[in-house]
Amino acid sequence: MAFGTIWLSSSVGELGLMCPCALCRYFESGARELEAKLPGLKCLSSGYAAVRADDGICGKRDRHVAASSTCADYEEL
Amino acid sequence: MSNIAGNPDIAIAARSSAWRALLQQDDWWAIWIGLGLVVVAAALATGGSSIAWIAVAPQKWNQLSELGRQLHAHAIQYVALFGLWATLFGLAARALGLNSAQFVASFGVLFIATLGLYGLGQWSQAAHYNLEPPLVALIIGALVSNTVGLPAWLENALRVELYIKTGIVVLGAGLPLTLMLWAGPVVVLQAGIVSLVTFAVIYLTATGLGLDKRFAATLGTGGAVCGVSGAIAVAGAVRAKKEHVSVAISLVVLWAIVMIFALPLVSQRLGLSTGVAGAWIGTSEFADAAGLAAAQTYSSLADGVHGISGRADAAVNAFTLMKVIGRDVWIGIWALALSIVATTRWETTGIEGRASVSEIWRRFPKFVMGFVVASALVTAVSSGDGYADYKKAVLPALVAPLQVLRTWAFTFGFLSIGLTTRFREFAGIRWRPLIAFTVGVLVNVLLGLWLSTRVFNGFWNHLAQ
Repeated sequence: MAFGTIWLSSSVGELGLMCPCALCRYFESGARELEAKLPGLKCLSSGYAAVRADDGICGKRDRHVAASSTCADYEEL
Repeated sequence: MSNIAGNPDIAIAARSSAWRALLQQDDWWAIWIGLGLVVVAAALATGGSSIAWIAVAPQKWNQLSELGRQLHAHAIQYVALFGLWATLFGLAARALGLNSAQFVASFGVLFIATLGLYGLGQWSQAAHYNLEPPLVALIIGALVSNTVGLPAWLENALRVELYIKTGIVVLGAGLPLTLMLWAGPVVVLQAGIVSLVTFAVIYLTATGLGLDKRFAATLGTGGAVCGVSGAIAVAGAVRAKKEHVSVAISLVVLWAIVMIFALPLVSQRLGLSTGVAGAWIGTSEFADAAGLAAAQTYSSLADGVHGISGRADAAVNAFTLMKVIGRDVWIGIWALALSIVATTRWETTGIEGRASVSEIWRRFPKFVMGFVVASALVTAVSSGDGYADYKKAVLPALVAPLQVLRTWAFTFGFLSIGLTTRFREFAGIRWRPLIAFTVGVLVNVLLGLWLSTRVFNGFWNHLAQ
Protein backbone atom coordinates (compact mmCIF):
# COMPACT_ATOMS: atom_id res chain seq x y z
CA MET A 1 0.00 0.00 0.00
CA ALA A 2 2.71 2.44 1.09
CA PHE A 3 4.96 1.33 -1.78
CA GLY A 4 2.11 1.84 -4.24
CA THR A 5 1.45 5.29 -2.93
CA ILE A 6 5.10 6.29 -3.13
CA TRP A 7 5.40 4.85 -6.65
CA LEU A 8 2.25 6.67 -7.76
CA SER A 9 3.42 9.89 -6.15
CA SER A 10 6.84 9.60 -7.81
CA SER A 11 5.41 8.95 -11.24
CA VAL A 12 3.09 11.94 -10.89
CA GLY A 13 6.02 14.09 -9.84
CA GLU A 14 8.26 12.83 -12.67
CA LEU A 15 5.61 13.78 -15.19
CA GLY A 16 5.56 17.32 -13.83
CA LEU A 17 1.98 16.96 -12.66
CA MET A 18 0.49 18.57 -9.60
CA CYS A 19 0.05 15.97 -6.85
CA PRO A 20 -3.50 15.44 -5.59
CA CYS A 21 -4.58 15.88 -1.99
CA ALA A 22 -5.13 12.10 -1.81
CA LEU A 23 -1.33 11.67 -1.69
CA CYS A 24 -0.63 14.54 0.69
CA ARG A 25 0.42 14.06 4.31
CA TYR A 26 -2.09 16.69 5.47
CA PHE A 27 -5.06 14.90 3.90
CA GLU A 28 -7.23 12.78 6.20
CA SER A 29 -10.05 10.81 4.62
CA GLY A 30 -10.53 7.76 6.84
CA ALA A 31 -14.23 7.34 7.68
CA ARG A 32 -13.66 6.80 11.40
CA GLU A 33 -11.21 9.68 11.65
CA LEU A 34 -13.67 11.93 9.83
CA GLU A 35 -16.49 10.94 12.15
CA ALA A 36 -14.23 11.81 15.10
CA LYS A 37 -13.33 15.19 13.60
CA LEU A 38 -16.88 16.12 12.60
CA PRO A 39 -19.09 15.52 15.64
CA GLY A 40 -22.67 14.79 14.65
CA LEU A 41 -21.71 13.23 11.31
CA LYS A 42 -22.41 9.76 12.70
CA CYS A 43 -25.77 10.82 14.16
CA LEU A 44 -27.72 11.41 10.93
CA SER A 45 -25.21 10.43 8.27
CA SER A 46 -21.98 8.51 8.10
CA GLY A 47 -18.31 8.76 7.27
CA TYR A 48 -18.91 5.66 5.12
CA ALA A 49 -21.68 7.27 3.03
CA ALA A 50 -21.36 7.22 -0.76
CA VAL A 51 -22.24 10.93 -0.98
CA ARG A 52 -18.93 11.76 0.71
CA ALA A 53 -17.09 10.11 -2.18
CA ASP A 54 -13.36 10.32 -1.42
CA ASP A 55 -13.38 13.72 0.29
CA GLY A 56 -11.31 14.37 3.35
CA ILE A 57 -10.05 17.11 5.62
CA CYS A 58 -6.91 19.10 4.84
CA GLY A 59 -5.07 19.50 8.15
CA LYS A 60 -2.94 22.31 6.75
CA ARG A 61 -5.74 24.55 5.48
CA ASP A 62 -8.50 23.15 7.70
CA ARG A 63 -10.89 22.63 4.82
CA HIS A 64 -13.09 19.79 3.58
CA VAL A 65 -11.67 18.92 0.17
CA ALA A 66 -12.01 16.37 -2.63
CA ALA A 67 -9.16 13.87 -2.92
CA SER A 68 -8.43 15.06 -6.46
CA SER A 69 -7.88 18.69 -5.39
CA THR A 70 -4.42 20.20 -5.55
CA CYS A 71 -2.60 23.05 -3.80
CA ALA A 72 0.81 24.60 -3.35
CA ASP A 73 1.19 23.26 0.21
CA TYR A 74 1.37 19.64 -0.93
CA GLU A 75 3.77 17.49 1.05
CA GLU A 76 4.46 13.89 0.27
CA LEU A 77 3.23 11.23 2.68
CA MET B 1 2.17 22.48 -13.92
CA SER B 2 -0.58 20.50 -15.53
CA ASN B 3 -3.31 18.67 -13.66
CA ILE B 4 -3.57 14.93 -13.02
CA ALA B 5 -6.37 14.34 -15.53
CA GLY B 6 -5.47 11.75 -18.14
CA ASN B 7 -2.67 10.19 -16.13
CA PRO B 8 -2.96 6.38 -16.37
CA ASP B 9 -1.58 5.75 -12.87
CA ILE B 10 -4.21 7.99 -11.34
CA ALA B 11 -6.88 6.33 -13.47
CA ILE B 12 -5.82 2.89 -12.17
CA ALA B 13 -5.88 4.17 -8.59
CA ALA B 14 -9.34 5.63 -9.14
CA ARG B 15 -10.66 2.35 -10.56
CA SER B 16 -9.25 0.41 -7.61
CA SER B 17 -10.95 2.90 -5.29
CA ALA B 18 -14.26 2.36 -7.10
CA TRP B 19 -14.05 -1.41 -6.50
CA ARG B 20 -13.10 -0.88 -2.85
CA ALA B 21 -16.21 1.27 -2.44
CA LEU B 22 -18.36 -1.83 -3.00
CA LEU B 23 -17.17 -3.09 0.38
CA GLN B 24 -16.28 0.12 2.18
CA GLN B 25 -19.39 2.26 1.81
CA ASP B 26 -22.51 1.65 3.87
CA ASP B 27 -24.67 2.38 0.79
CA TRP B 28 -23.34 -0.76 -0.88
CA TRP B 29 -23.70 -2.85 2.28
CA ALA B 30 -27.32 -1.72 2.54
CA ILE B 31 -27.78 -3.07 -0.99
CA TRP B 32 -26.03 -6.39 -0.31
CA ILE B 33 -27.98 -6.96 2.92
CA GLY B 34 -31.35 -5.46 1.97
CA LEU B 35 -31.49 -6.81 -1.55
CA GLY B 36 -30.12 -10.17 -0.36
CA LEU B 37 -33.03 -10.47 2.07
CA VAL B 38 -35.53 -9.52 -0.64
CA VAL B 39 -34.06 -12.00 -3.15
CA VAL B 40 -34.13 -14.87 -0.62
CA ALA B 41 -37.67 -13.95 0.48
CA ALA B 42 -38.87 -13.78 -3.15
CA ALA B 43 -37.19 -17.09 -4.04
CA LEU B 44 -38.81 -18.85 -1.07
CA ALA B 45 -42.21 -17.27 -1.76
CA THR B 46 -42.03 -18.35 -5.41
CA GLY B 47 -41.33 -21.91 -4.25
CA GLY B 48 -44.33 -21.88 -1.92
CA SER B 49 -42.33 -21.20 1.25
CA SER B 50 -41.59 -18.00 3.22
CA ILE B 51 -39.13 -16.20 5.51
CA ALA B 52 -42.03 -15.54 7.90
CA TRP B 53 -40.60 -17.90 10.57
CA ILE B 54 -37.50 -15.76 11.11
CA ALA B 55 -39.29 -12.41 10.59
CA VAL B 56 -40.64 -12.53 14.12
CA ALA B 57 -41.93 -9.55 16.12
CA PRO B 58 -44.07 -8.91 19.19
CA GLN B 59 -47.84 -8.86 18.55
CA LYS B 60 -50.54 -6.72 20.23
CA TRP B 61 -50.80 -7.31 24.00
CA ASN B 62 -52.79 -5.98 26.97
CA GLN B 63 -51.03 -7.42 30.01
CA LEU B 64 -47.27 -7.65 30.41
CA SER B 65 -47.64 -11.37 31.07
CA GLU B 66 -49.04 -11.79 27.54
CA LEU B 67 -45.91 -10.22 26.09
CA GLY B 68 -43.79 -12.50 28.27
CA ARG B 69 -45.65 -15.56 26.98
CA GLN B 70 -45.18 -14.40 23.38
CA LEU B 71 -41.43 -13.94 23.83
CA HIS B 72 -41.11 -17.31 25.52
CA ALA B 73 -43.08 -19.09 22.80
CA HIS B 74 -40.96 -17.56 20.02
CA ALA B 75 -37.61 -17.49 21.84
CA ILE B 76 -35.82 -19.66 19.26
CA GLN B 77 -37.06 -17.44 16.43
CA TYR B 78 -35.77 -14.33 18.21
CA VAL B 79 -32.37 -15.97 18.72
CA ALA B 80 -32.31 -16.91 15.02
CA LEU B 81 -33.30 -13.38 14.03
CA PHE B 82 -30.53 -11.95 16.19
CA GLY B 83 -28.10 -14.39 14.56
CA LEU B 84 -29.22 -13.27 11.10
CA TRP B 85 -28.89 -9.55 11.78
CA ALA B 86 -25.64 -9.95 13.75
CA THR B 87 -24.09 -11.97 10.91
CA LEU B 88 -25.17 -9.60 8.15
CA PHE B 89 -24.35 -6.34 9.93
CA GLY B 90 -21.26 -7.95 11.50
CA LEU B 91 -19.91 -8.73 8.02
CA ALA B 92 -20.56 -5.13 7.02
CA ALA B 93 -18.87 -3.84 10.17
CA ARG B 94 -15.81 -5.99 9.50
CA ALA B 95 -15.55 -4.74 5.92
CA LEU B 96 -15.95 -1.15 7.10
CA GLY B 97 -12.97 -1.67 9.40
CA LEU B 98 -14.84 -1.84 12.71
CA ASN B 99 -13.93 -4.35 15.41
CA SER B 100 -16.34 -7.17 14.55
CA ALA B 101 -16.24 -8.86 17.99
CA GLN B 102 -17.06 -5.58 19.71
CA PHE B 103 -19.68 -4.89 17.06
CA VAL B 104 -21.54 -8.15 17.70
CA ALA B 105 -21.41 -7.61 21.48
CA SER B 106 -22.76 -4.07 21.22
CA PHE B 107 -25.29 -5.11 18.59
CA GLY B 108 -26.62 -7.64 21.11
CA VAL B 109 -27.42 -4.77 23.49
CA LEU B 110 -29.01 -2.79 20.65
CA PHE B 111 -31.10 -5.80 19.60
CA ILE B 112 -32.45 -6.36 23.13
CA ALA B 113 -33.29 -2.65 23.52
CA THR B 114 -34.99 -2.68 20.10
CA LEU B 115 -37.00 -5.76 21.09
CA GLY B 116 -38.18 -3.86 24.17
CA LEU B 117 -39.21 -0.86 22.06
CA TYR B 118 -40.93 -3.06 19.49
CA GLY B 119 -42.85 -4.73 22.32
CA LEU B 120 -43.78 -1.38 23.86
CA GLY B 121 -45.19 -0.22 20.52
CA GLN B 122 -47.51 -3.25 20.48
CA TRP B 123 -49.04 -2.42 23.89
CA SER B 124 -52.75 -1.77 23.45
CA GLN B 125 -52.41 1.49 25.45
CA ALA B 126 -49.24 2.73 23.70
CA ALA B 127 -51.09 5.19 21.44
CA HIS B 128 -53.13 6.47 24.39
CA TYR B 129 -49.91 7.44 26.20
CA ASN B 130 -48.17 8.62 22.99
CA LEU B 131 -45.55 5.90 23.37
CA GLU B 132 -44.62 5.77 19.71
CA PRO B 133 -41.52 3.54 19.35
CA PRO B 134 -39.45 5.99 17.24
CA LEU B 135 -40.02 8.83 19.71
CA VAL B 136 -39.42 6.63 22.76
CA ALA B 137 -36.23 5.28 21.11
CA LEU B 138 -35.00 8.80 20.48
CA ILE B 139 -35.81 10.09 23.98
CA ILE B 140 -34.36 7.11 25.84
CA GLY B 141 -31.28 7.04 23.61
CA ALA B 142 -30.63 10.78 24.02
CA LEU B 143 -31.20 10.60 27.79
CA VAL B 144 -28.73 7.74 28.19
CA SER B 145 -26.03 9.23 25.95
CA ASN B 146 -26.29 12.73 27.49
CA THR B 147 -26.43 11.66 31.16
CA VAL B 148 -24.70 8.42 32.08
CA GLY B 149 -22.98 8.15 28.68
CA LEU B 150 -21.98 5.04 26.78
CA PRO B 151 -18.87 2.88 27.03
CA ALA B 152 -16.76 3.14 23.86
CA TRP B 153 -17.32 -0.52 22.89
CA LEU B 154 -21.08 0.01 22.81
CA GLU B 155 -20.75 2.73 20.18
CA ASN B 156 -19.56 0.19 17.60
CA ALA B 157 -23.10 -0.88 16.74
CA LEU B 158 -24.53 2.64 16.45
CA ARG B 159 -24.50 2.81 12.64
CA VAL B 160 -27.64 4.86 11.95
CA GLU B 161 -27.12 5.09 8.20
CA LEU B 162 -26.39 1.40 7.68
CA TYR B 163 -29.63 0.37 9.39
CA ILE B 164 -31.79 3.08 7.81
CA LYS B 165 -30.47 2.50 4.29
CA THR B 166 -30.93 -1.26 4.67
CA GLY B 167 -34.50 -0.64 5.85
CA ILE B 168 -35.17 1.62 2.86
CA VAL B 169 -33.89 -1.02 0.41
CA VAL B 170 -36.20 -3.61 2.03
CA LEU B 171 -39.04 -1.06 1.98
CA GLY B 172 -38.71 -0.97 -1.81
CA ALA B 173 -40.18 -4.49 -1.86
CA GLY B 174 -43.47 -3.10 -0.55
CA LEU B 175 -43.76 -0.34 -3.15
CA PRO B 176 -44.80 -1.46 -6.63
CA LEU B 177 -42.57 -0.10 -9.39
CA THR B 178 -45.68 1.15 -11.16
CA LEU B 179 -46.47 3.31 -8.10
CA MET B 180 -42.98 4.82 -8.22
CA LEU B 181 -43.37 5.64 -11.91
CA TRP B 182 -46.86 7.05 -11.33
CA ALA B 183 -45.74 9.18 -8.38
CA GLY B 184 -42.41 10.20 -9.90
CA PRO B 185 -43.41 13.45 -11.68
CA VAL B 186 -45.36 14.84 -8.69
CA VAL B 187 -42.60 13.84 -6.29
CA VAL B 188 -39.86 15.46 -8.37
CA LEU B 189 -41.94 18.62 -8.96
CA GLN B 190 -42.91 19.13 -5.30
CA ALA B 191 -39.46 18.27 -3.95
CA GLY B 192 -37.77 20.37 -6.64
CA ILE B 193 -39.80 23.48 -5.80
CA VAL B 194 -39.14 23.18 -2.08
CA SER B 195 -35.45 22.33 -2.49
CA LEU B 196 -34.72 25.27 -4.80
CA VAL B 197 -36.66 27.78 -2.68
CA THR B 198 -35.17 26.54 0.61
CA PHE B 199 -31.63 26.61 -0.76
CA ALA B 200 -32.12 30.13 -2.13
CA VAL B 201 -33.58 31.41 1.16
CA ILE B 202 -30.79 29.94 3.32
CA TYR B 203 -28.03 30.97 0.90
CA LEU B 204 -29.27 34.53 0.46
CA THR B 205 -29.97 35.02 4.16
CA ALA B 206 -26.56 33.61 5.10
CA THR B 207 -24.62 35.73 2.60
CA GLY B 208 -26.80 38.72 3.54
CA LEU B 209 -25.66 38.23 7.13
CA GLY B 210 -22.06 38.29 5.91
CA LEU B 211 -21.31 34.56 6.03
CA ASP B 212 -18.82 32.99 3.62
CA LYS B 213 -20.39 31.79 0.33
CA ARG B 214 -19.04 28.26 0.76
CA PHE B 215 -20.50 28.10 4.24
CA ALA B 216 -23.81 29.45 2.93
CA ALA B 217 -23.90 26.78 0.19
CA THR B 218 -23.13 24.03 2.72
CA LEU B 219 -25.91 25.25 5.01
CA GLY B 220 -28.32 25.65 2.10
CA THR B 221 -27.80 22.12 0.80
CA GLY B 222 -28.07 20.69 4.30
CA GLY B 223 -31.49 22.32 4.64
CA ALA B 224 -32.72 21.81 1.10
CA VAL B 225 -31.50 18.45 -0.15
CA CYS B 226 -30.46 15.68 2.19
CA GLY B 227 -29.41 17.01 5.55
CA VAL B 228 -26.02 16.05 6.94
CA SER B 229 -25.19 13.97 3.85
CA GLY B 230 -26.03 16.95 1.60
CA ALA B 231 -23.90 19.26 3.73
CA ILE B 232 -20.79 17.05 3.63
CA ALA B 233 -21.19 16.31 -0.07
CA VAL B 234 -21.35 19.99 -1.03
CA ALA B 235 -18.71 20.99 1.54
CA GLY B 236 -16.26 18.72 -0.29
CA ALA B 237 -17.32 19.99 -3.69
CA VAL B 238 -16.87 23.68 -2.77
CA ARG B 239 -13.97 23.12 -0.30
CA ALA B 240 -15.68 24.60 2.75
CA LYS B 241 -13.88 25.22 6.03
CA LYS B 242 -13.98 22.32 8.47
CA GLU B 243 -15.49 24.42 11.27
CA HIS B 244 -18.27 25.50 8.88
CA VAL B 245 -19.05 21.87 8.07
CA SER B 246 -19.27 21.14 11.81
CA VAL B 247 -21.72 24.01 12.36
CA ALA B 248 -23.83 22.95 9.37
CA ILE B 249 -23.99 19.36 10.70
CA SER B 250 -24.99 20.55 14.19
CA LEU B 251 -27.75 22.79 12.77
CA VAL B 252 -29.17 20.00 10.63
CA VAL B 253 -29.14 17.56 13.56
CA LEU B 254 -30.74 20.13 15.89
CA TRP B 255 -33.60 20.98 13.54
CA ALA B 256 -34.05 17.40 12.33
CA ILE B 257 -34.61 16.25 15.90
CA VAL B 258 -37.05 19.09 16.59
CA MET B 259 -38.97 18.11 13.44
CA ILE B 260 -39.17 14.43 14.42
CA PHE B 261 -41.47 15.55 17.23
CA ALA B 262 -43.08 18.60 15.62
CA LEU B 263 -44.17 17.30 12.20
CA PRO B 264 -46.22 14.27 13.37
CA LEU B 265 -47.77 16.35 16.17
CA VAL B 266 -48.82 19.20 13.87
CA SER B 267 -49.99 16.71 11.21
CA GLN B 268 -52.22 15.07 13.82
CA ARG B 269 -53.60 18.44 14.98
CA LEU B 270 -54.36 19.39 11.37
CA GLY B 271 -55.99 15.99 10.76
CA LEU B 272 -53.79 15.26 7.75
CA SER B 273 -54.20 11.92 6.01
CA THR B 274 -51.24 9.56 6.20
CA GLY B 275 -50.34 10.21 2.56
CA VAL B 276 -50.37 14.00 2.93
CA ALA B 277 -48.45 13.91 6.21
CA GLY B 278 -45.84 11.56 4.72
CA ALA B 279 -45.38 13.87 1.73
CA TRP B 280 -45.02 16.90 4.02
CA ILE B 281 -42.48 15.11 6.23
CA GLY B 282 -40.61 14.00 3.10
CA THR B 283 -40.49 17.57 1.86
CA SER B 284 -39.62 19.24 5.15
CA GLU B 285 -37.48 16.84 7.21
CA PHE B 286 -33.75 17.13 6.69
CA ALA B 287 -32.35 13.63 6.99
CA ASP B 288 -33.60 10.20 5.92
CA ALA B 289 -33.26 8.70 9.39
CA ALA B 290 -35.02 11.59 11.14
CA GLY B 291 -37.77 11.73 8.52
CA LEU B 292 -38.41 8.01 8.78
CA ALA B 293 -38.70 8.38 12.56
CA ALA B 294 -41.33 11.11 12.04
CA ALA B 295 -43.17 9.20 9.30
CA GLN B 296 -43.13 5.93 11.24
CA THR B 297 -44.50 7.83 14.25
CA TYR B 298 -47.39 9.11 12.15
CA SER B 299 -48.00 5.59 10.80
CA SER B 300 -48.19 4.34 14.41
CA LEU B 301 -50.57 7.19 15.31
CA ALA B 302 -52.81 6.32 12.38
CA ASP B 303 -52.89 2.74 13.59
CA GLY B 304 -54.02 3.62 17.09
CA VAL B 305 -55.77 7.01 16.96
CA HIS B 306 -59.12 7.73 15.32
CA GLY B 307 -59.48 10.65 12.95
CA ILE B 308 -56.42 10.02 10.76
CA SER B 309 -57.47 8.81 7.33
CA GLY B 310 -55.46 6.62 5.00
CA ARG B 311 -53.55 3.38 5.35
CA ALA B 312 -51.03 3.46 8.20
CA ASP B 313 -48.02 2.58 6.02
CA ALA B 314 -48.84 5.34 3.51
CA ALA B 315 -47.02 7.89 5.70
CA VAL B 316 -43.74 5.94 5.43
CA ASN B 317 -44.30 5.19 1.72
CA ALA B 318 -45.08 8.82 0.80
CA PHE B 319 -42.15 10.04 2.90
CA THR B 320 -39.73 7.62 1.23
CA LEU B 321 -40.86 8.50 -2.29
CA MET B 322 -40.57 12.23 -1.57
CA LYS B 323 -37.26 12.13 0.30
CA VAL B 324 -35.38 9.43 -1.58
CA ILE B 325 -36.64 9.94 -5.15
CA GLY B 326 -37.50 13.63 -4.84
CA ARG B 327 -34.47 14.89 -2.95
CA ASP B 328 -31.65 12.45 -2.20
CA VAL B 329 -30.89 11.33 -5.76
CA TRP B 330 -30.17 14.89 -6.90
CA ILE B 331 -27.25 15.51 -4.51
CA GLY B 332 -24.63 14.80 -7.19
CA ILE B 333 -26.15 17.44 -9.47
CA TRP B 334 -26.24 19.97 -6.63
CA ALA B 335 -22.59 19.20 -5.82
CA LEU B 336 -21.55 19.52 -9.48
CA ALA B 337 -23.42 22.80 -9.98
CA LEU B 338 -22.03 24.35 -6.82
CA SER B 339 -18.55 23.05 -7.60
CA ILE B 340 -18.68 24.84 -10.97
CA VAL B 341 -19.89 28.07 -9.33
CA ALA B 342 -17.23 27.82 -6.60
CA THR B 343 -14.47 27.24 -9.16
CA THR B 344 -15.51 29.93 -11.62
CA ARG B 345 -17.26 32.63 -9.57
CA TRP B 346 -16.09 32.65 -5.97
CA GLU B 347 -12.81 33.92 -4.55
CA THR B 348 -10.07 31.30 -4.56
CA THR B 349 -9.11 29.30 -1.47
CA GLY B 350 -5.72 28.34 -2.83
CA ILE B 351 -6.97 24.79 -3.33
CA GLU B 352 -7.55 23.96 -6.96
CA GLY B 353 -10.00 21.44 -8.31
CA ARG B 354 -11.82 20.69 -11.52
CA ALA B 355 -15.58 20.27 -11.66
CA SER B 356 -16.40 17.03 -13.43
CA VAL B 357 -19.63 15.35 -14.52
CA SER B 358 -18.36 12.21 -12.80
CA GLU B 359 -19.23 14.02 -9.56
CA ILE B 360 -22.88 13.08 -10.16
CA TRP B 361 -22.15 9.36 -9.98
CA ARG B 362 -19.42 9.59 -7.33
CA ARG B 363 -21.84 11.25 -4.90
CA PHE B 364 -24.95 9.35 -5.95
CA PRO B 365 -26.57 7.69 -2.90
CA LYS B 366 -26.12 4.16 -4.23
CA PHE B 367 -28.59 2.53 -1.82
CA VAL B 368 -31.39 4.09 -3.91
CA MET B 369 -30.55 1.56 -6.64
CA GLY B 370 -31.24 -1.25 -4.17
CA PHE B 371 -34.57 0.37 -3.26
CA VAL B 372 -35.64 0.49 -6.93
CA VAL B 373 -34.38 -3.03 -7.74
CA ALA B 374 -36.22 -4.46 -4.69
CA SER B 375 -39.41 -2.80 -5.93
CA ALA B 376 -38.89 -4.12 -9.47
CA LEU B 377 -38.18 -7.63 -8.20
CA VAL B 378 -41.33 -7.94 -6.08
CA THR B 379 -43.39 -6.25 -8.81
CA ALA B 380 -42.14 -8.89 -11.27
CA VAL B 381 -42.79 -11.77 -8.83
CA SER B 382 -46.37 -10.63 -8.23
CA SER B 383 -47.10 -9.40 -11.76
CA GLY B 384 -49.34 -12.34 -12.70
CA ASP B 385 -51.47 -12.08 -9.56
CA GLY B 386 -54.73 -10.21 -9.18
CA TYR B 387 -55.40 -8.20 -6.02
CA ALA B 388 -57.13 -11.14 -4.31
CA ASP B 389 -54.17 -13.44 -5.03
CA TYR B 390 -51.77 -10.74 -3.89
CA LYS B 391 -53.59 -10.41 -0.55
CA LYS B 392 -53.88 -14.16 -0.11
CA ALA B 393 -50.41 -15.29 -1.19
CA VAL B 394 -47.84 -12.55 -1.90
CA LEU B 395 -48.65 -10.31 1.08
CA PRO B 396 -48.38 -12.88 3.91
CA ALA B 397 -45.56 -14.92 2.37
CA LEU B 398 -43.37 -12.15 0.98
CA VAL B 399 -44.31 -8.53 1.67
CA ALA B 400 -45.46 -8.76 5.32
CA PRO B 401 -42.33 -10.60 6.59
CA LEU B 402 -40.14 -8.07 4.78
CA GLN B 403 -42.13 -5.26 6.43
CA VAL B 404 -41.31 -6.80 9.82
CA LEU B 405 -37.59 -6.98 8.97
CA ARG B 406 -37.66 -3.39 7.73
CA THR B 407 -39.24 -2.24 11.01
CA TRP B 408 -36.45 -3.96 12.93
CA ALA B 409 -33.82 -2.23 10.79
CA PHE B 410 -35.49 1.18 11.19
CA THR B 411 -35.81 0.75 14.95
CA PHE B 412 -32.08 -0.12 15.23
CA GLY B 413 -31.55 3.19 13.44
CA PHE B 414 -33.95 5.25 15.59
CA LEU B 415 -32.34 4.02 18.79
CA SER B 416 -28.90 4.75 17.34
CA ILE B 417 -29.94 8.35 16.54
CA GLY B 418 -30.77 8.97 20.19
CA LEU B 419 -27.64 7.24 21.41
CA THR B 420 -25.37 9.29 19.09
CA THR B 421 -27.02 12.67 19.74
CA ARG B 422 -24.81 14.87 21.94
CA PHE B 423 -26.53 18.06 23.06
CA ARG B 424 -23.21 19.68 23.96
CA GLU B 425 -22.32 19.73 20.25
CA PHE B 426 -25.09 22.29 19.69
CA ALA B 427 -23.13 24.75 21.84
CA GLY B 428 -20.82 25.46 18.89
CA ILE B 429 -23.66 26.91 16.82
CA ARG B 430 -23.39 30.67 16.35
CA TRP B 431 -26.18 33.19 15.84
CA ARG B 432 -25.81 34.13 12.18
CA PRO B 433 -25.83 30.57 10.79
CA LEU B 434 -28.62 29.72 13.23
CA ILE B 435 -30.74 32.62 11.92
CA ALA B 436 -30.04 31.80 8.25
CA PHE B 437 -30.85 28.12 8.68
CA THR B 438 -33.92 28.78 10.81
CA VAL B 439 -35.40 31.17 8.24
CA GLY B 440 -34.91 28.43 5.66
CA VAL B 441 -36.56 25.88 7.95
CA LEU B 442 -39.64 28.08 8.39
CA VAL B 443 -40.01 28.68 4.65
CA ASN B 444 -39.40 24.99 3.93
CA VAL B 445 -42.01 23.81 6.45
CA LEU B 446 -44.72 26.26 5.36
CA LEU B 447 -44.10 25.77 1.64
CA GLY B 448 -44.02 21.98 2.08
CA LEU B 449 -47.28 22.10 4.04
CA TRP B 450 -48.97 24.27 1.40
CA LEU B 451 -47.86 22.04 -1.48
CA SER B 452 -48.84 18.84 0.36
CA THR B 453 -52.23 20.04 1.62
CA ARG B 454 -53.35 22.46 -1.10
CA VAL B 455 -51.58 21.86 -4.40
CA PHE B 456 -50.92 18.11 -4.53
CA ASN B 457 -53.31 17.00 -1.73
CA GLY B 458 -55.53 15.04 -4.13
CA PHE B 459 -52.59 13.00 -5.27
CA TRP B 460 -51.30 12.24 -1.75
CA ASN B 461 -54.78 11.43 -0.41
CA HIS B 462 -55.28 9.05 -3.32
CA LEU B 463 -51.93 7.38 -2.58
CA ALA B 464 -53.01 6.90 1.06
CA GLN B 465 -56.06 4.90 0.00
